[in-house]
Amino acid sequence: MLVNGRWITRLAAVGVAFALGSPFASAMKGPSISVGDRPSLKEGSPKIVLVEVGDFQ
Amino acid sequence: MLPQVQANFVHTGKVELIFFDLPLQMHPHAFRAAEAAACAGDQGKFWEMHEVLFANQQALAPEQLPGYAEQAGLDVAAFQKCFAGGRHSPKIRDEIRIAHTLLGITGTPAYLLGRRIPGGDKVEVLEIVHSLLPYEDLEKKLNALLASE
Repeated sequence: MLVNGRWITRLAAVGVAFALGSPFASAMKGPSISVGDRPSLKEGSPKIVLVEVGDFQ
Repeated sequence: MLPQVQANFVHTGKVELIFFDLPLQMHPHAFRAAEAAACAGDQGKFWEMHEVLFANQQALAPEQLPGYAEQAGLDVAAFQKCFAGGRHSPKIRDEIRIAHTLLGITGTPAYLLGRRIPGGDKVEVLEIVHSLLPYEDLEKKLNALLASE
């Protein structure tokens, strides 16, 4: 039972490490906001976005 | 700072620049100015109006805004119709709510660094900067993000 318990722990650790290193994990880091109707300035189709949160006064 | 960002990152196709409204309550004309900019956006001239409004930050009374619309090259009659109708007001209020509740942003300027989520109109926010940054610092952050892609 002890051996099985260790293997389960190891497998779980490998699973967590895999998940953290996967593209899925990196895609889930922060909140997401909808920007579909926001003013945008770009050339081509860049993936990286800088959002200026501002007021005019 | 933003002209440098535009020259070095936006016009080179590396980064998309998006504006998100957060008119502050302490600025009595900020909300109407945000509406004016959104009306300019209806005519495809948001960024022209953005520039004119920021150049006149100390003089943004509602009666002055049609003059700025003219400076930005807008159809002033269409602008005034949009502006008087307050058609963008609900959207701006929604952005204020999102900034406060989802992003924890209560002051301006602030910046979000993120990446487009493929296949939709959403951006995943990777970092929130809560203050005005020197250009060099923002440049480092953007370059680090680009290098990680």
